[in-house]
Amino acid sequence: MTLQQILFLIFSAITLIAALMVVTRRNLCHAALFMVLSFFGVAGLYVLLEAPFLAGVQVFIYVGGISTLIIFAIVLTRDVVDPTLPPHNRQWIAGALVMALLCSVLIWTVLGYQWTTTTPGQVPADSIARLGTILVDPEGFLLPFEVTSVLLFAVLIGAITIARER
Amino acid sequence: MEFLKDLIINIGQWFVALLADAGLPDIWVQVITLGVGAFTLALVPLATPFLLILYERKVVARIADRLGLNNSAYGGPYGLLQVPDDAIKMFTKEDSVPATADRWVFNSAPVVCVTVAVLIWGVIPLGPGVIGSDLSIGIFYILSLGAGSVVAVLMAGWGSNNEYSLAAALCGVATLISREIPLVLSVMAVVMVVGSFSMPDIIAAQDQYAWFLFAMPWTALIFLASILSEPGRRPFETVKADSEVVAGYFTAYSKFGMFYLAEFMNQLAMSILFATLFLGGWRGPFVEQIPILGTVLWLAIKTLFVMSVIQLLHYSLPRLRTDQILAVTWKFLTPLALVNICVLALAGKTLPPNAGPWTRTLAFLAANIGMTLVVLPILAARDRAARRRQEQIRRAAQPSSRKHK
Repeated sequence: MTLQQILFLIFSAITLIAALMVVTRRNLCHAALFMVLSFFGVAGLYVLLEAPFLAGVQVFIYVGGISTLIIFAIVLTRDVVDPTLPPHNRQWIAGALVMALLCSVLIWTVLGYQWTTTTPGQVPADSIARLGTILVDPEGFLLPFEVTSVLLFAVLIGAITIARER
Repeated sequence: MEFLKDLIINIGQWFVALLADAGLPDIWVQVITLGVGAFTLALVPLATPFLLILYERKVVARIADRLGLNNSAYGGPYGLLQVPDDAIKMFTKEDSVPATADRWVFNSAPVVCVTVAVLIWGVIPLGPGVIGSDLSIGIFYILSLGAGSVVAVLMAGWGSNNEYSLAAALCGVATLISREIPLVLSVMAVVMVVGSFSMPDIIAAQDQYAWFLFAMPWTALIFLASILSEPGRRPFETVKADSEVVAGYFTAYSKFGMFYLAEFMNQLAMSILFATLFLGGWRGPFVEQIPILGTVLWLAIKTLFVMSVIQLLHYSLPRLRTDQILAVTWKFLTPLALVNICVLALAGKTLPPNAGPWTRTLAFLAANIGMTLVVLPILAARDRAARRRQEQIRRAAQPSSRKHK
C-alpha cells in the first residue's frame, strides 16, 4: 500500500464518518460542525487528486461561507438542541423519495462508468493560470461563467433590496 | 562560512544524508524528513510568542509612559522570565468546564484555533528556498484557512452555553466575515499584478516594481485594516473586547492560554504576511551573498516593524462598535478595494510590457493618487447623505415612541 492510498483511506473515512454523523446527530449544532469536518475531508481528497485550487475553494466557500451561515442560523434558533423533539417532520416521505431517486441515479452512474485505471499524466505547473484563462475564453467556459456571475449579481441586488433601510 | 551561507537548507540536506546512511528505505527518509521539518516549522510560531509577548509588554509600557516589565523577584533581569512564569501559571491553572457547556465543542474550540494559526506557517517563505511547501495556491491557502478560525470562534462561543460568550462570538464572526471581503479583494489586487498565487513568486515580482507598499499603497492600507480584526487588534477589535463583553467568546474558559497563544500567533503570521506581500519578504541587501541574512535579519526586521505598527494602533486608538466596524468594512473598504482592482488593472494594461521598475511603480502610484482624489470625496459624500437620512429617521421616530409610553 502506498502513502497515497493510506491518505486516501484516511480522508475518505473522515468524510464518510463525519457525513454519517451529520445525519444521525440529534443536536443540530453538532451536525453542522461534523459537516465542516466532512468538507475538510473532501478538500483533502482534492489535494490527493493534485487539484489544490479546488481544495482551497472547497474550504473557502463551503466552510467559510456556507457552513458559517448554517451555524449562524442554528445558534440563533431556539430549541434546536432539544433531543426530545422529533427528528423528522411531515415532509419525510417526499424527502425519502427524492433521496432514493438520487441514490439510484448515483449508483447507476458509478456502476455504468468506464473507470480508467491507467496512471494519469503529470499536472501542469501552470494549471491555475490555465483554469483562469479557460474561464474567460469564448471557446471555453465564458458563457457559464458569465451566467453564474449574472445570477450572483441578481442575488446580491435582491439581498440589498430586502435589507436596505426605507 | 560556506556552511553558514545556506544554513537551513544545509541542515536539511545533512539530516536527509544522515537518515539515508542509517540504511532506511527512501519512503521512510521522506516521511521522517517531512515530519521533522513540519514539527520544526510549527515550533517557530509556538515558541516566538515568548519573546514577542515581552516585546509587546515593553511597547505598551512605553506608550503608557511606564517602565513596564522590570527586575523583580520572579520576573528576573529586565523581566525576561515574566512570560515563562505566566505560561507556567497558565498551564497549572484549574481547568474548569462550565456545567452547562457542550463538553466536546467547548474543549475542541481552542485546538481548532491554534491548529489554524499553525497551519498558516506552511506556506510563508522564511528565506531563499526556505518554505514549508511552495503551494501553487500559496496565498489562497491562507485565505481559506481564515474560514477555520471563524468556525473556532463560533464553536467557543456556542460551546460555552453562555449568553455573553455567544453574543460576543456572533459580533466577532460578523466582523471577521465583513473584513474577509476587503481582505480577499486586496490580496486579489496583488495576485492580479503578480499573476501567481505562490508566495515566492509574489516576493520575486517585487523586484519589477518597488516594494508593493510603495507601488500600491491603497492595497496595503486595505490589507492592513482587514488583518487587524483577526488577532483582535484595535480599532477593529470586537472578537475579544475586554471592556465590553468580558473576554469575548472565551469568557467561560478558565484556561484561555490557547486562545491567547493563537491570537499572538495570528498577529505574528499577519505581520509576516504583510512583510511578505508588501515589503519584499526576506529580500534585502547582501541576501545573494549570505542567504541566511534574509531569514534572521531582513524578514525579522520587517515583521517586527509591521507588528510594532499594529501594536501602536492597538494601544493608541479607541475601539469601534460592531456596527461601526461593519459600516467601515462594507461601506468604505469594500467599494475602495473594488475600485482599487479596476484602477490597477487599467494601469497594468496601459503600461508597455518592457517598462522598467521605476516607470511601473510611478504609474501605479499615480493611479493610486488619482483614485484617492476621485473615490474618497464620493464615499465621504455618500456617508454624509446616509447620516442625514438616519438623523431624519431618528427624529421622525422620537415623538411616536413617547406616545407609546
